[in-house]
Amino acid sequence: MNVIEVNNLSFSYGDNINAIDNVSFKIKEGSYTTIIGHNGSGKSTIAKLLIGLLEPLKGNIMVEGVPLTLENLSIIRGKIGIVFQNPDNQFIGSTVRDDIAFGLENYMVPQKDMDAIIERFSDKVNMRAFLNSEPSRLSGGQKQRVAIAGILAMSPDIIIFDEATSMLDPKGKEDIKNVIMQLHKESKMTIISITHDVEEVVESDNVIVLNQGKIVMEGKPSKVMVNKKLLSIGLDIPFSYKVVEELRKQKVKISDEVTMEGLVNQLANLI
Amino acid sequence: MNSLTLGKYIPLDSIIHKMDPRSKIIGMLIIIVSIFFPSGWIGYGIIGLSVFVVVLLSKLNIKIIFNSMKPMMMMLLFLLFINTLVIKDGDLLLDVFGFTIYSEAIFQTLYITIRLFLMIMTTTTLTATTKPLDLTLGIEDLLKPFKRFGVPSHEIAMLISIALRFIPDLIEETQRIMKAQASRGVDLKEGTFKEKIMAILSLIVPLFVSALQRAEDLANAMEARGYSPGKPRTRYKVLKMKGSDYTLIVCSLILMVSMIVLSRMYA
Amino acid sequence: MPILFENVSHIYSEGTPFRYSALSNVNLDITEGKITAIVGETGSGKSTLVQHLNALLLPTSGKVTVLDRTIISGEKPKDLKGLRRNVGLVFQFPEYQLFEETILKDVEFGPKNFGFEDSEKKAKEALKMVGIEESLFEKSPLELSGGQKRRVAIAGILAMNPKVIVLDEPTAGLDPSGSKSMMNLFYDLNKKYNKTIIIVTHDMEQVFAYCDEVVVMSQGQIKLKTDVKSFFKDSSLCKSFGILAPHLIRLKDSLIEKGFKIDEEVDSIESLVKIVSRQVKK
Repeated sequence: MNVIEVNNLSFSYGDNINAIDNVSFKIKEGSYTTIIGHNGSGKSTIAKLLIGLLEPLKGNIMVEGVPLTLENLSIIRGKIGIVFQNPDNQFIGSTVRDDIAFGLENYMVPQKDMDAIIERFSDKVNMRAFLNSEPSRLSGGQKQRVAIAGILAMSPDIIIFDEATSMLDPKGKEDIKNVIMQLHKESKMTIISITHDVEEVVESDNVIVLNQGKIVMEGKPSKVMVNKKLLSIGLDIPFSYKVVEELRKQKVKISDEVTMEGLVNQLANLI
Repeated sequence: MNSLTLGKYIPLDSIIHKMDPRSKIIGMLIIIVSIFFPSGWIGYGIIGLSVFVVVLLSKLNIKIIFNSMKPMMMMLLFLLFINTLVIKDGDLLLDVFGFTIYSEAIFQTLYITIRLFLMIMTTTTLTATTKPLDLTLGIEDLLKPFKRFGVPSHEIAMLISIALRFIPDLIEETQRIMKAQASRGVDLKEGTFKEKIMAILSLIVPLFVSALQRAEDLANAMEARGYSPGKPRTRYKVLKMKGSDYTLIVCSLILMVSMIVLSRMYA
Repeated sequence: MPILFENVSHIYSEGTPFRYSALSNVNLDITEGKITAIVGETGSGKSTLVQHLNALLLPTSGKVTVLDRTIISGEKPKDLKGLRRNVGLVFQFPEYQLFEETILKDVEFGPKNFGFEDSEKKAKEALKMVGIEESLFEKSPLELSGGQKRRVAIAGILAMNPKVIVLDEPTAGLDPSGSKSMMNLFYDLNKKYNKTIIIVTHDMEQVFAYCDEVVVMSQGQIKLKTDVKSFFKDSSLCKSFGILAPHLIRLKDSLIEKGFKIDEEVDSIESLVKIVSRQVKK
């Protein structure tokens, strides 16, 4: 089943240039989709359109069969959660506990149920030990984990990561990527991740490539990420595929490969 | 950073820290009103003693409170100077080449100093013993009865708590921008008037740009998590008054009544 | 002229409950004319260290020598401006320091503060270096895209024509092509204009591809200073510091594990593939 259907979506920031230009795509339930594109290609604009922070110029968005309109905004936002790029600017509460509670308060969760929910989801992102910590005492990665807990607490079906790892250090990036994989594999959530990280893309089920507001490629990462066109639109191809190309120049017979593990295994069989 | 002791929460484990913010706010307001009655030295002595007891109970270091007075020193010295020029009542204390100082000028300044000191001591105790968020919850609850007159108590509280939440971030940002501009040769201490104006602009403009960016990000994050001003919400933190809270309010009321009586006696 | 740290410690908020020791007894010699990477976990003291280079921070104890100036703890440094002119420090997310009405004016701000007579010429040269077209010079910096803003901010430092350029995570938040051209710019500044470049970074691919020397920091101390080639000889040294080695080195190590013989130094995909392709069936 498709949980999200985007049809002929266009959006402009009012300067006659379409930031999103006639974009259509579908997202399957339980799938992990990555969206890539250079800065300014319209990636984050799509995220904001999906949760109704921006209003489309043309086209429509359906979330689990419900059309995204002003009247349905509250329903849609109960279905989709989003983690933004900047860890500081989405930490609303004065402690981890209060921050997770913020969304619960908005959705009228009874006060007596809150503690149990807060504890459960802080556990899920390994932040239970920090429940009473203030944001200034947390690292960027920890703040992002709190943001994820705050969203999971509202039990959405779909979660969007809008460059959620781009401001983190390697450890923070790794942590968040692990949480994403865990949500995808164990909780079977639908995940949309907007990213620059080629290594994350190859882990996903499906990738959408944006350039100047248009979808230029879409499909399985193992097919899309080996296309040289990516380089011409300011994106990178996976390291493993660069090696594959070089090997072919040296007449080594090897099939397309986008992960390091697969590459090593193929070469080990050839020795 | 050290001058920012004023209004900073200091986490300690004391009976005052554990009190309901509402009773602390009410208590503070009553004491501040009491300070305004001209109750003479005895009155100020009693208030001073009471506030001192509260500070002791709160386990706060008295030094912190004296430190928070420091920024006022210049202002008070200036006041003393003005008073000696203007007030010419009481005994003549000093006469140097026609420059005269009268006892009343000194007394008036002392009065103001003591009042200011007591007020700062009271408010510092409140803010040092109450978490910013609890403070806003207290304000929200206390403003609730005024809701029917159109006072948006919840929105005011949300506004204050977000402002408090972002003050440390903005201080950090300011320091970062100052350092970045210092690396480009900005010197706030030296230079011509025009250079100083540019130096200040080079700090304020980026700070505004970044604060606006933060505000936009924050608004998006709040909206995406289902917040909408005016929409009913539940509340995670529930305030509860205990015995100590009622004691504080009653004590401060007694204090105020005695100040009224004392000020009548003086008059 | 040397860049030298001798027994340098830096303690924030000394004498308060918030006391925090960010650097402890650092001894470091940064080679002139090279590109040096400073790596380490968040909070390891990298930013504190580099802020000593233009005396934004002064050592709590110890001695810092930069170019012809020596800063000793407890002594008031003289002629800070002279030092800051010669050591250009670019902070993280420098786009947030732009404030002037036009791009050109913003880049001129630094040289003007340092009393340059030809600040406009210097600004134009710097903007050209970072690849900002002349047609944009009179525009407001706020109209630019994120990557362009960062270039303008960096031009603002380059226009001062510093001898040493210090960059704190200069490519954070940029897309792959933006990062790449940014790193190429620093590489050129080093090779063509002989600038000493110091880069604080988390990105080992960048360290491997562009830098000459690497300094590893942890908990306010220098754990290692070595040349990049020996640092990335295999992934074991990186691993011992909790650092993920570059792809190429990890691939090389995995292949050795699978029975490949790779004794030669590997510095590019081509060099690795040449060795590997001799050992596989074709």
